[in-house]
Amino acid sequence: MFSQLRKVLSLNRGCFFIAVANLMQRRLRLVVALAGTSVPIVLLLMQMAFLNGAQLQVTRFYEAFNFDIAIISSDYQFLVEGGAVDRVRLTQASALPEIVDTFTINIGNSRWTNKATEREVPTLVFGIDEKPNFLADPRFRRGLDALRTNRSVLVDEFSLEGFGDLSIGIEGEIRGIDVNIVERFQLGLFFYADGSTIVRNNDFARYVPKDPLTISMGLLQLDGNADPDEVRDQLISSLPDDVRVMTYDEFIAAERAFFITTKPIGIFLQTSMWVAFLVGSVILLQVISTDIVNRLKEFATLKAMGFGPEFVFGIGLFQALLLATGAFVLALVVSSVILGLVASVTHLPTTITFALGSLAFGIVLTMSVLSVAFVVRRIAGADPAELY
Amino acid sequence: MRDSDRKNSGLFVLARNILRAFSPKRSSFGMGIRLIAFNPARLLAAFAGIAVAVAVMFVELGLLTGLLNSQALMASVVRGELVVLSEARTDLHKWNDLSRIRLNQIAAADGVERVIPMYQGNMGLSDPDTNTVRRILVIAFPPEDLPIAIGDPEEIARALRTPNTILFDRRSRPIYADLVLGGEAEINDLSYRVGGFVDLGPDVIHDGVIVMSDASYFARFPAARPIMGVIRLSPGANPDEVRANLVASLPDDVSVFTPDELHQREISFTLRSAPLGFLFGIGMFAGLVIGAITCYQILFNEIVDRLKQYATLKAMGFSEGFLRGLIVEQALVLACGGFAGGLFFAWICYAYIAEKTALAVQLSLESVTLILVLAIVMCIAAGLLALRRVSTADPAELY
Repeated sequence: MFSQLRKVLSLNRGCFFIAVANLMQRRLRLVVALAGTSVPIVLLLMQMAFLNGAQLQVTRFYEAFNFDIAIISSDYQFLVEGGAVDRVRLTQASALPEIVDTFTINIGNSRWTNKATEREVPTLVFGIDEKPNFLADPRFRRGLDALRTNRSVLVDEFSLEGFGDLSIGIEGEIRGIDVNIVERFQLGLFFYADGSTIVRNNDFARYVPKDPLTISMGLLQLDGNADPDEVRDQLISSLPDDVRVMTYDEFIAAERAFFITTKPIGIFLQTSMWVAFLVGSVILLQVISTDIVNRLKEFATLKAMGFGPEFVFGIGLFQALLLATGAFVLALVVSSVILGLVASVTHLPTTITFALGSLAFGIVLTMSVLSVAFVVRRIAGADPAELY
Repeated sequence: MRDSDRKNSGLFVLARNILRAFSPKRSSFGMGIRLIAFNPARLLAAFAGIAVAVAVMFVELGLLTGLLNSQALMASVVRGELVVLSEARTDLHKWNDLSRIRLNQIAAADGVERVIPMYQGNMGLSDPDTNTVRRILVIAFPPEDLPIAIGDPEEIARALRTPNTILFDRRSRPIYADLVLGGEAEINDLSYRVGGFVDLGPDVIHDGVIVMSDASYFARFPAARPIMGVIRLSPGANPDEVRANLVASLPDDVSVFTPDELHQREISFTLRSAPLGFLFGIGMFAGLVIGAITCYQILFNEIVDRLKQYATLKAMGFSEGFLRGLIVEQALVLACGGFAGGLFFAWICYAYIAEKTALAVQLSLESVTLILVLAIVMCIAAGLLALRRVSTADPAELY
């Protein structure tokens, strides 16, 4: 049995080396095959990264906070259409012993005046409580320290160009009220607004008139031993149905799902991704199988030399896998360059993460195996007599 | 390079070969088709490959144009020769409004028959069934003269003359309360009567639209200022002259455009300064490049695979021109077949997107033409390149 295993292994090693030699035989042809195979992979990687980046982007604001449970209005749709929550709900919720601390967020639309040009641009205004333990983002924490006067604001340095110079110390106006930029953060919420600013909750109502009895949403931090799911269930049963209660993970997932399934841009990006996946797979299948079929003569020659069909098939498989891997690396480089450009212009987190890359590589390998399976009969049937 | 090769190169040959391929006088007409139809399974695979490449071009192009057109929607429905906006309203999704006096000044200018003000605001439409409030765009104007094409002007005027009547855009996304003709609609906690429906459609930002008369709007927002003025010219007035006069006589806090210019300005704004335009622009560019390369690849392989047959024909004494004709014919058949498949696939994708987003993502004549031309150009380029392999194909080497 041991010798059998060794035989199979040595056989495979033989396949591998022949496959390499086959591919390397004509360098130019190899380069063309690699380039051709990498084209659909670039498309796939790009669209996957766009969709993933957009999903990360729409929850960037919420992920800047440390919390276990969110209380949102029953009207809540997404970040900029959040409805209003009665302040009392937060007080009611904190009656539960598991809840250690609460935090309020206010979100509203207002106008930023670029003082240099006297132009107004729409801006989102976020109001936050002065509780650094809720702030996960170091820029938010630093910003909270800097928000000392009621005219201090933090601005998103990724706001669109209409905002003008957003350096620290620059004066601007929100809703005609003079403000002073004391610190900057990085969100880039262009899916929803041209830019954003953060103020203390005490000052929020001056920039966005609203009912003082309501807030946009409440965040809760739990005792370390408490189970968020249990607390959520208790809150759902104890609070009236004008609010919804979600754990951190549920809330982030729901926000992303809303963007992908309901907002037009999300639907666009998702459709693009599926089309890229479908098209990329079909083209990969075709390109790789053509490349294998083009070497039919070599396979037939090997058979004429007395090698068995498994051996010849093994060579084809290795060749396809090698080609796919090489093309994937090439595609990774090309798409990283394109995505880097996209990220620098849009500030979308479009990096190809390890998970995304592995998923794409998995798809590519599957397609290359499938394409060999596609042509296996032709390889097996490669008749030396017919070819010469 | 041989002399005959040099003579046979370039666009001239291309055109001649295309003509020859379809010339009924040519005795071998249809031979190319028979050649590729010889193996139907393989032909189908090639069609499928080209079809998906064409589909990706269509989808990416459709998404970009859908985005651009939806952003510029308001400019494309204007009923008038000129439009006036605040100078600060550099794109249509800004809210900078106009001073009312400017509209009066314009109305007094030579060649202007009238100016129709349009007002715009966000309100909350309640849904009693789910007990939720959804934000909706409210557009208001004087009922007697419709500034935008959203339905039958007389019907809309008649409905809007009744105070506190609203018209609901039936193309709004299905997130709103079910409004029925003659029923009630609760907007910002006040009740209105639903007097009918209009057709406008949502855009990327707004999910739906409600139309009301300027009087009803003023009842809620007494200090409202127009967001846009639509200018109707007196018969015989020249729009360019009127505009030049207006621009010269008015202070520089307003801008005057023709609706086409406004549409163009919005599209170039979206492409230039909005990250969304860039994102989908890159997507479209990549889609076109990748689709075109793929078309090329598949055709090239398809033709190179038959090198042996061509070499045989050559050995039998057929001229190179004949072979070229054959190849171009095949390339065109593959391009057209693949294109038809791709178009069908794209049509399904467009229908899906239009259904899900309620945006006007449509196949336009321009995009169909562009992609057909791209597919054919790539096919012919592939054919020509493969041709060079055929020209050098030596029968002796192949056997």
